[in-house]
Amino acid sequence: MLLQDTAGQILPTHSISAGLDYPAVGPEHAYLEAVGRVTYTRVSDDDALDAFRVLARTEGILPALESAHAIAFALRLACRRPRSFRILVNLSGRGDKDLDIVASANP
Amino acid sequence: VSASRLGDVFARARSERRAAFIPFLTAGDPSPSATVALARALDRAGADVLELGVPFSDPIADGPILQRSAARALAAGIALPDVWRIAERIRADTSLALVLFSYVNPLLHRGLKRSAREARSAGFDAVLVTDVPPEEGADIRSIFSAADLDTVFLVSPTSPPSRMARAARLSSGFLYVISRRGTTGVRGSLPADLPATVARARRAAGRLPVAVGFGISTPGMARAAARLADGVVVGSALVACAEESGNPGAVEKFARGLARACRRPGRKAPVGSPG
Repeated sequence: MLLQDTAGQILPTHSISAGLDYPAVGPEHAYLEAVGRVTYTRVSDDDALDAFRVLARTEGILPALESAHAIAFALRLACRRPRSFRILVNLSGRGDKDLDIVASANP
Repeated sequence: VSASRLGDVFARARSERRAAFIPFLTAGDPSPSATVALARALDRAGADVLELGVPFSDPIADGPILQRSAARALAAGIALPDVWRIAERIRADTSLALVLFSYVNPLLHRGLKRSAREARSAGFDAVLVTDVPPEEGADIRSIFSAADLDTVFLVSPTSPPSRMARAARLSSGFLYVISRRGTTGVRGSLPADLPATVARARRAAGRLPVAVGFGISTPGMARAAARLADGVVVGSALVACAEESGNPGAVEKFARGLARACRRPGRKAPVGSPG
C-alpha cells in the first residue's frame, strides 16, 4: 500500500510526525485493512498538536506525536459516544523526543 | 527459449571467445530521442544487449549517477508508454537485444500482464525487475514468460547457494551477478571475491549464461570481468560519460573500448565481429 501517482511513482509526503512521514504502510497493516478488520483514518497536524497538549495538561503524559494522532481521533470519537463508552488508546512512544517540534509549532 | 535473441547473443559471443557487452541506459534521460541516439552509438560500438531502465522515484539499488539519471527522465515526464516508444525505435534502428530493467511498482501499477504484453510488442526480449527477490518471483517468471520474454533475476555475494539456485531456476536468458555489496556506481576496482562469487553463481546457473555488473567502470575492469563471466554490464560509467559529454560520439568511443575489453585473450576474434 503506497502513496503513488498514476504511473506508480512514489509521491512526496508530509507529516508533523517523523514516524508517519512515509509513503507506505507495512504488509500487516495493509492486510488488516484489506480484510476489513481495522478501519484506518487520518487526523491533521494541528489536531495532533492539540491532542498532545490536552494529554500533557490533563494526565501529565507527553505522547509521541505519532500517538498524539490516536489521542486526537479518540477525542473526536468520544464526543459522539455516551460517557460510559470506553476507548483504549495505545501510546506507542514518548513525546519528549518531539518537544522541539511542539515548541516551535504555533499554539 | 533457446531461440530467443538473448540465447543467440550469448551463443555468438561464446563462439567469438568474448563476453557479451551489456550497457545500461535510463530510458528518456534526458529525452527519448537522446536515449535512441545513445543506443545507436552503443550498437555501433559493439554492444550486444541493452538494459533499458524505467526511471523510478525510489531507486534503492542505484548510486548517485543512476539516481540523477532517473530524476532527469522523471522530470522529462517519462512513464512506461514512453519507454515502449523508445524501445520500438531502438528495436527498429539497432540489432541490440533489449532488456526491460525496472523496479516493480511501475509495472505492478500498470498491471504485470499488461506490462508484459506491451513490453513484448515494443520489442523487448527480457525483463529484469530489480526489487523482486527470488522468493517473490514466481509471478514475474510466469507472466513475462507467457508473453515470450526472458526473465533475469539477480544474485549477489551475500546470496547463499539455495537462493542462487532459486534465482537461477526463475531466470532465462542469463543470470545477473551483482559484483559487490551496495549500490550501482563508478568504482576503482573489482571486489577481491568476485571470482568466487561468479563461480558460485555458475554452479547455480548450470548452462544458463551469467553476466556480472555493478561498479564495472573501465576497460581494465571489463577485461577482468569478461574472463570470469559470459556477459559484462556497464551502467553508471556510461551514463556519467553521457551526462558529462552530452554527446553520443564520446559515449561511442568509451563503449568501443569496453566492447574491445570483453574479448578474451588467446585467439583473435573472427573477422567481422563487433568492435
